[in-house]
Amino acid sequence: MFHFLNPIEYILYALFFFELTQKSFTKKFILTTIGILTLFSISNTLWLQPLAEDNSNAYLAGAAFMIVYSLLYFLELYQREDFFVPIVKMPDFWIVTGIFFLYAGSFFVMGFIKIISAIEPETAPKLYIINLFLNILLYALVFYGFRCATRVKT
Amino acid sequence: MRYTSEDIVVVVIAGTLLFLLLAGFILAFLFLSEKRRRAHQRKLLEVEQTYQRELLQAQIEVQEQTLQHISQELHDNIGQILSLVKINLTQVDVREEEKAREKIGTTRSLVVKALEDLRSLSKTLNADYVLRSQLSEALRFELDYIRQVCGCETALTVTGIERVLTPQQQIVVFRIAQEALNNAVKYAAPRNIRVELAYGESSFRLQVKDDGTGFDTESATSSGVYEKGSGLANMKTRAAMIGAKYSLQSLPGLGTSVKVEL
Repeated sequence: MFHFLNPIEYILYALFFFELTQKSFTKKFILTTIGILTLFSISNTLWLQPLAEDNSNAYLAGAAFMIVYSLLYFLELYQREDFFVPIVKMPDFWIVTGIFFLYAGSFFVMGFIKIISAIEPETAPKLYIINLFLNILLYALVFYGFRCATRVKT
Repeated sequence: MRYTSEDIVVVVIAGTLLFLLLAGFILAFLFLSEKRRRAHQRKLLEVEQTYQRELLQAQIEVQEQTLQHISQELHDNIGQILSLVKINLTQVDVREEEKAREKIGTTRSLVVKALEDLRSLSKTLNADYVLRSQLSEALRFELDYIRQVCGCETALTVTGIERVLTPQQQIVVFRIAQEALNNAVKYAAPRNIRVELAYGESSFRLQVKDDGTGFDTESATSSGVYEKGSGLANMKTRAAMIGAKYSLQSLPGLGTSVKVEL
């Protein structure tokens, strides 16, 4: 299931970042990485981690790109001078912060699980709960971002 | 590869540090961005204040100049007419009915003229005169005055359909025209002064041209005529303030032309 869902998820996030950025370099970078990521996911499923296995390679590659997109967003936001709304009231900022925490955290958790599974194979799957917390954090920040959006509009 | 429980401790510490690092990164980012945003807003506020100050200064200068015109007009024109009225009335002899009637008739005409002049002056006494009236009207008043003071020929041409500029543009453009006219009268001894107003659909041009002595713009630059605070520098600064293109062309013996384009 995740073999199909992950690429779609990444493409949607990438398009979200594509809409956010105003720099043509970043736009080109995102479009290129969408292609790379899709090709890598397909290749991974076909030759490295078949459907019966967990597609951790594709997940980690996507997570790495999400971290890079987030950092590019933060850099662009920092360089901007024309914003009049404080950053804490910007919906995009909170959503990107959520994505950044989720993928930076997931990246770490995946590696951590690999270590744990070598010591206590039965404990390792339980650690996926950390991902759940990271997801909760993401949704909370997305929710807060939406609240900011409605406040900014009114 | 074998992992021990010590490895887990290291990983947990590393994980905690990673989260603290991420949170620290976000907080530092927020703090720095907010600092930058505030600095930027302060800068914008300063620009806005300078703009308002310059605008106010231009308005004050227009008013000062107008008051000067009015005082001169009262002294040279209306004052003279009223003196004539007084002399005429003193000379009226009721015993010579025909002569008295003639004198009273002349006096009445003089009083009517004085009243007309006063009415026209009273319009300009209002502080918002330049803002309320059309630019051509305000400039015509200015040119009439210059014709009387300097004895030179003046002409105003308006092309296109005249429209009201924004209050800021109106006051600044008028002040630049006033400054250019003043400079012409004070330093150039022109025989002719021509003011052109050209209105396009989304453009506007003011040009003040004289055929006076003119000056060498390069040597004027080196002698500090364009330094901050001078009339010429003010014209340029104020034009930039309303986003207008400003140009001054002058050659010794060939007159001067000041152009403002919006």
